[in-house]
Amino acid sequence: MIRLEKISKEYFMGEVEIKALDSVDLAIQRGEFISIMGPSGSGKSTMLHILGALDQPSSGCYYLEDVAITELSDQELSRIRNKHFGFIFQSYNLFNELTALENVTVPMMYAKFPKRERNELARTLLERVGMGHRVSHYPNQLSGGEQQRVAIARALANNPTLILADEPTGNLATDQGEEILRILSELNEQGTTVVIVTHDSKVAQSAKRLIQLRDGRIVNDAPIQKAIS
Amino acid sequence: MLFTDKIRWAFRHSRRRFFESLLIVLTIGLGISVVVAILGLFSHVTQQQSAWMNDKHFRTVQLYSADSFRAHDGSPLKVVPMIEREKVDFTLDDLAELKNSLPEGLFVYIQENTMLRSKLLAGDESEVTISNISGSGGVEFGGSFSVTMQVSEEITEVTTEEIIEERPSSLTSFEDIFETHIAINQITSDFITFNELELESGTWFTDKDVDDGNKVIVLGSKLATQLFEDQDPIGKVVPLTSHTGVEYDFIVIGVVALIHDDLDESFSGMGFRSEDYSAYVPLTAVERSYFESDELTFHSISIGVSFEWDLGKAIEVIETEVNRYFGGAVVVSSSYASQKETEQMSKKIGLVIGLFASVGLVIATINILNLMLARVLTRTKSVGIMIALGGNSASIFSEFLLEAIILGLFGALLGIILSFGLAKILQLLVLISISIKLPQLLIGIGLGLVVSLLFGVYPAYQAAKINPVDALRIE
Ligand SMILES: Nc1ncnc2c1ncn2[C@@H]1O[C@H](COP(=O)(O)OP(=O)(O)OP(=O)(O)O)[C@@H](O)[C@H]1O
Ligand SMILES: [Mg+2]
Repeated sequence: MIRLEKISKEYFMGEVEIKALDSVDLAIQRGEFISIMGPSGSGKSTMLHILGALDQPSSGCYYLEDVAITELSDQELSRIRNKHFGFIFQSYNLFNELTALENVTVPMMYAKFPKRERNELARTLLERVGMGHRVSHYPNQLSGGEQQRVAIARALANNPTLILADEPTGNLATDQGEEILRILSELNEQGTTVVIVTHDSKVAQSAKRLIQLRDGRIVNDAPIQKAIS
Repeated sequence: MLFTDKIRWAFRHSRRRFFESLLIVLTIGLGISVVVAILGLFSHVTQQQSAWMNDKHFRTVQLYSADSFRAHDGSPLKVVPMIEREKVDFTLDDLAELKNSLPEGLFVYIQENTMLRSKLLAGDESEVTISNISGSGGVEFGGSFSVTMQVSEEITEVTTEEIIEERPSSLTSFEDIFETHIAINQITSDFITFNELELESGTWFTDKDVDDGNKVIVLGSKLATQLFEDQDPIGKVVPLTSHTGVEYDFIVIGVVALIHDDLDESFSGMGFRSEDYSAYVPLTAVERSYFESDELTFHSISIGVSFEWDLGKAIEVIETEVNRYFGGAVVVSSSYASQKETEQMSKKIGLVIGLFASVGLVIATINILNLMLARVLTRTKSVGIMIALGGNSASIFSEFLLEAIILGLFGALLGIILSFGLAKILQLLVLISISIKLPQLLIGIGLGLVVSLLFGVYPAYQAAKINPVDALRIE
């Protein structure tokens, strides 16, 4: 479904070149649950942003369903982000001026859904993440875990091909983090492809495939052997 | 995004910073209200200008001897000394000369007005409601006031009320004069042409009648009815007593068509009767009491400027010709210069206020631009999220710009409302008339749009330039 070929991303700090990603090859199949690990500054977020078409690589090719993403215009990229990718961030990144329900409707607004349909769908999505009772709360009236669940509902809004989560549990207490992971696993079981960036190896264990990054290179890429209980 | 969603979103953001948005709207509103009011003032001045430019009275220029003329330059504070010159008296030859040398469309004539007693009026008691008073009082111009006061006590109650209620007592004297006198216009032929006086019956007198001083008279429509009721006035005799007491018989040769249909206009506010009650005779037909010289001379010459002429241009032509002919001993006087002066003055005042308002508006715009830039800065992360969820730089640009335009339009709306209030206040305080109509309102709204673009485009551009990856890194 997704293919990265020799993807590099360089930043220049004056004369010094920083390679955030260094010639990365990667393929992701539909239905996978991948966790990306690595030390700070190893390029995890950069990789996630490139996967989500939010950032452009300095070189290399990115194919989504055999479409070369790297060739597309700003307008077309925005449509692809809207339809194919759902982002989840460490700090939730909800719009503070909008209610939970409205936050979930934003991607559908960009997809030009009529208001009624939008609200109905958003309500269903909120119920799916267990937030059906908080639809008209504003973000500052919700706990961190609740905010992250709203953010997941929002990421699901246009039924994306791929969920991209950058340390979704990083700001959360263990039990709330576990709840988030449980939801993500559930989504994966229902068929959604999930990529999750994390520092926490326990969190990484809930995925089916683990990719380890160091200095912008993939140093390890293997399926996770689930301990048979 | 659907347009309605964009608008709803923009409102959301403005509401979120309600006080700031309110201040922005208020600032724009105040600026625009002043500008709209000034435009209203201009439009009023222009309307007035076209009104007086189309008025025959304003299109008439007077020639006076420079010796008696205190040049008026429109400034009320400056004392203008009399010009020391030889006195010029105008003759009929001067009139003929000017008439010949001035181009088409400029009507040169002499007009003098006088009130002449007519036996026809004084003798006819049934015609005038309170003729017994004027008859017994022997009303003359100066003494009429006291006579009226004295007699009014003897009148029956009803009439007293009538007098008191319907006209101020001081004006009654004018009416009394009209009961015995006829308002006479002593004119030359161009007066008729310029004023386009139509006849109801008969003919006008000719240049020859003027030259020969023939005793012919053309009556105003209402005067004709007053004197002869439903008889045909043509050929009838109107006896007129000159100022020196000589009585002449004037033959009626024409009746002027009704000028003012309105019956109540027999007395206008100032106590003068309408033209329909006056009569026209050749300039030379009546001797005049107030000039001593044997030669037939006149105090002033009038020049009527027809509508084909631009008034300012015509006055230039007249001045050149008059200077050539009289060599500076004669001044050309018209309301044109002072009207223009007043007009230019109010335009200048308007321009200055408008300038201040515009500078204010520019300062306001810069301030608002600052506020909007700050807004973009605080929403940098939001922009990153929006792009992650499906926005792009074009949609971000349009969303921020829309917010600015909404603020600008609300400002314009407030400005228009305030401008009406401002117009009222100015009208009450300084008696400046302001007419705010559709064009001014449209300009006000346009101005709101322009201002909102001025303070909206740059911040929106800044917002569109935000790199989502950098924005999302912000904690
Ligand atoms: N805008 C930028 N300019 C310069 N260098 C950058 C920029 N963005 C990222 N980098 C560098 O690229 C490298 C990879 O950054 P990235 O954010 O992907 O790391 P990360 O693995 O997500 O780290 P963390 O675990 O701390 O979030 C880092 O060394 C970082 O300093
Ligand atoms: Mg990171």
